[in-house]
Amino acid sequence: MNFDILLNTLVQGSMLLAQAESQTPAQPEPDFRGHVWLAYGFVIALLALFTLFVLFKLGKTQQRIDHLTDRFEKTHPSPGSGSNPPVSEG
Amino acid sequence: MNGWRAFFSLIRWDLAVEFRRRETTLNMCLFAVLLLFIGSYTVSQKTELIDTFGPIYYWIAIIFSGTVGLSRAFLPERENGAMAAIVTAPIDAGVYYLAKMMAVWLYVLVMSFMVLAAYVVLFDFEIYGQYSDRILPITVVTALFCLVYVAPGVLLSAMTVGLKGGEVILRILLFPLMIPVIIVVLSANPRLFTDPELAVTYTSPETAMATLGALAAIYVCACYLLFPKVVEE
Amino acid sequence: MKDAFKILVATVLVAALYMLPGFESLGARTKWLSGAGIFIALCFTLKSIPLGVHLIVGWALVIETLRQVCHDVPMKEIMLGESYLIFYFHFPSAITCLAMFLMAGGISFWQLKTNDLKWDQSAAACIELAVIACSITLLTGMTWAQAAWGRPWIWSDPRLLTVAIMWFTYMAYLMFRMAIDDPVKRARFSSVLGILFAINVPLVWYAIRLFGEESHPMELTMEGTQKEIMTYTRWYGAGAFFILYMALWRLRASSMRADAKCDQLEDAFMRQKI
Repeated sequence: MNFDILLNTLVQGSMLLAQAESQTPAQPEPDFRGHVWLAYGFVIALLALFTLFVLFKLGKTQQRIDHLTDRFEKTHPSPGSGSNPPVSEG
Repeated sequence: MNGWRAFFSLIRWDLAVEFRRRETTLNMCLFAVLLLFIGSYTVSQKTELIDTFGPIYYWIAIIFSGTVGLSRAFLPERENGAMAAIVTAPIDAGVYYLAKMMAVWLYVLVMSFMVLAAYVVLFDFEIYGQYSDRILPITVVTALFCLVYVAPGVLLSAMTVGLKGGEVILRILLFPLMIPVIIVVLSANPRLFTDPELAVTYTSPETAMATLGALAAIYVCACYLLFPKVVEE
Repeated sequence: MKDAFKILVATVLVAALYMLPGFESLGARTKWLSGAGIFIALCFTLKSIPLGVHLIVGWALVIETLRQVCHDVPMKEIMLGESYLIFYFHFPSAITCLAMFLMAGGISFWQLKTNDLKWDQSAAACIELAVIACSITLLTGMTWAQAAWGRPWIWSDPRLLTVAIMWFTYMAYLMFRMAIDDPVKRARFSSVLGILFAINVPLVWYAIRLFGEESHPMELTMEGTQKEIMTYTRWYGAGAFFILYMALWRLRASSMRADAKCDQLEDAFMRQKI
C-alpha cells in the first residue's frame, strides 16, 4: 500500500484545484430581473392608468349629459313623452 | 379654364407677387447661410470633422430654412381672404396645388443653390477643382430632395396657415415626414460630398435619385388628391 | 360593375403586397398576409361583444400572459440571458402600434368619403391608443437595450427606430388636433393627416431597412425544445394585447362620442337661454 503516493496525489490535486480557482474566479451572472420588472411595470402602469382615466372621464361626461338633459326637461316640460333636447347625429 | 393655362398663369402670378415683395426667398437664403456659418464654426476647430459633418449641415440648412418659405406660402391668400376663393374658382383645386408647389419649389431651389455656394466657401468643398464631377449629381439630388420636401410641405402649410402657433405646428408635422428622405440622402452623402474610399457603406447618386424620384411621385400624387379636401369649406 | 371593380382593386392590392421586399419567401408572405387578415377579422368580431365584457376579457388575457412569462417560458435565452423576457411585452405593443396606425389611415380615408364625424372620433381614438402602444414599445425597448447592450438607445434596431419616428409623427398629429376648435374642420384636417402619415409608415420602414445603417435587431434565437413554448407565448401575448388595445380603443371612442354629445347639448342649452 503506497500511502505516500496516495498522500502525494491528494496534496498535488488540492494544490492544482486551489491554483485553478485562483486563476479563474467564479463570475456571477449579471442580474437583469430588475430591468424585467421595470418593463412589466411600465406596460401595466400605462395601460391601467389609461383605462382608469378614460373610465373616470366617461363617467363624468355621462353625469354632465344627464344633468343637462334633466335641466332641459325642467325648462321645457312636456306631458307624456319625455322630450329630448335637440341633438343631431353625426 | 384649361388646366395647363390655369397652371402656368397661377405660377406666373405667384412669381410676380414674390418678385415684388422678395421676402420669402431672401429670408430663406439669409437663414440658410446663417445656419451654415454657425455649423462651419463648430467644425472649424477640427478639420477632419469637415468630411463627416459638413454634408449633414448642408441638408440641415436646406430643411430648416425651407420651413421659413413654406410657412409663408399661403400668406398672400390668407391676407387677402382668398383661401375660400380657391375652391369656388373655376379651376381644379389640385391644379392650384400643383402650381403653388412648383412656385415654392422654385424658391427653395434658389435657396439651395445659395446654400451650395455658401457650403463650397465655408466648408472648403473644392467643387471647381477636385470634386468638379460632383456638380451634376449634387444638383440633381438637391433638386429632387427639395421636391420631396415641398410636396407635403405645401399641403401642411395650407392646413396650418390660419392656426395660432401654426408655424411651429408646421415644422412639428413636416419633419417626421422628412425622416425617410433624410435617411436616403445621408446614406448617399459619402458618394456625393467626400471621398468614397473613406466610406464604409454608401449609396450611389443614381440610386438616391431614383429613390427620391419615387418618393416625390408618391407624395405629389397623394397631396394632389388630398388638397381639395383641405381647402373646401 | 362597381363590385367587379372593387374585387379587381382588392386583387391588385393583394398582388402588390406579395411583391413587397423584405420577405424571405412566398410562404412567409402568405403567413404575414393571413395573419393580417385574421387581425382584421378579429377587429370586426370584437365590435359585437359588449364593451365591459371586452375590457375584462382583454385584461384577463394580459394578466394570463404575465403569468405565462413568469412560469411557463424558459428563464434565460442563449444570447441575451434573462433580459429577453421583456420581449414578450415589447413585441405585441410594437406590431399593434404599427397595425393601428395603418388602420387609422383607412378609417381616415373613410371619414373623408362619408363626412361622418363618428369615423373621425374612431380614428383619433385609434391613434391615441397607438401612441400609447408606441410609448410602451419605446420604454420596454430602452429598458431591454440598457440590459442587453449597456446603453438605453441603439440606432441599429430597425423596429425600434421605426416606432420612435412614428411616435414623433403621431404626437404631432395629436398636438395638431388640439389646436383646432371647430369639430368639422378638425375632422377634415385630421383625416388628411391620418392618410398622409399612414402612407409614411411603410416608407419609413423600408427607408430604414434599405438605406439605414447595418441592422442588428434585438431578436431572439429560439432553438430546440423551448422553441414551441416561446413561439406560443409570443403569439398568445400578441393576441392578448391586441384584444386589450381594441377594448381600450372602443372605450376611448365612446368617451369621445360622449364628449361631442355633451358639447352639442351645452350649445343647444345656451341657444335656448338666449
